[in-house]
Amino acid sequence: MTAPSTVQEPEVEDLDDIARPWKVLVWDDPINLMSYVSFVFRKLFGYSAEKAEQLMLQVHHEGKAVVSSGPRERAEMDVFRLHEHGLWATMEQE
Amino acid sequence: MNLPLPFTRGRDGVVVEFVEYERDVLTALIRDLRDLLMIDDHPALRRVKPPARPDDAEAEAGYRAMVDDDLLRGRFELLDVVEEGIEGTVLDEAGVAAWMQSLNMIRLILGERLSQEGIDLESDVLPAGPVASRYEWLGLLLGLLVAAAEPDLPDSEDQD
Repeated sequence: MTAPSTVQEPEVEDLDDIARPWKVLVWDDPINLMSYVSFVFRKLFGYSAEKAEQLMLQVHHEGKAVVSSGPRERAEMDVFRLHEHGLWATMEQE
Repeated sequence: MNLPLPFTRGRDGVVVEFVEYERDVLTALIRDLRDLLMIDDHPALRRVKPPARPDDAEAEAGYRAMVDDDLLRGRFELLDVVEEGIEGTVLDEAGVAAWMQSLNMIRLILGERLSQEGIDLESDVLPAGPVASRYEWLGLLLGLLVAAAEPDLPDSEDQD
């Protein structure tokens, strides 16, 4: 008979991330070029040209758009990369 | 006199070619930006350090403690790449990123300055002056660079 393997209990924070993922929003601003914003969305998230343009136009017309969603650490990295590119990004839990 | 476009697609990457006057202006802008980046919490930098967690002051402080040094160091490294290529170069993917982020950073700061003077940046006519003219010029440069670099972006499936 084999001994039971160790079960690693998920961290409470991990469970909360799964239940309530973090979303990354990009906000409209009067400075960033639309072509640049689309380019950044394609470069950072691998979106198609069409998807990137759709998100960019949503930012432009509605004031904001959710560009990614997931665990907190990934959201923090996405926000950091967007800030590196000069976009106004924030994160919040769903 | 026909001026060369500053950014064009070449066989090996994006070709950078500025005339002397443009190099002088860009060099001065980069120098000014380096000086500005050294001043912590300067109002002109507000636009390039936006809050990540405006809803939670404690979380925002934690985020800033985590990223600000890396953000600053990265920006200086990007400016190094730009300065190395100002006399003319061919950009690989990293070079494109350095130029794009640097030009945009300068443009954001100039734009923020114009906004703080009460200028509506979404109106068609900006006032005459060096800040506005450089702001507009950088917009042209950025648009040209995006157009030159865009074909290198991979086609990818929608990330839904």
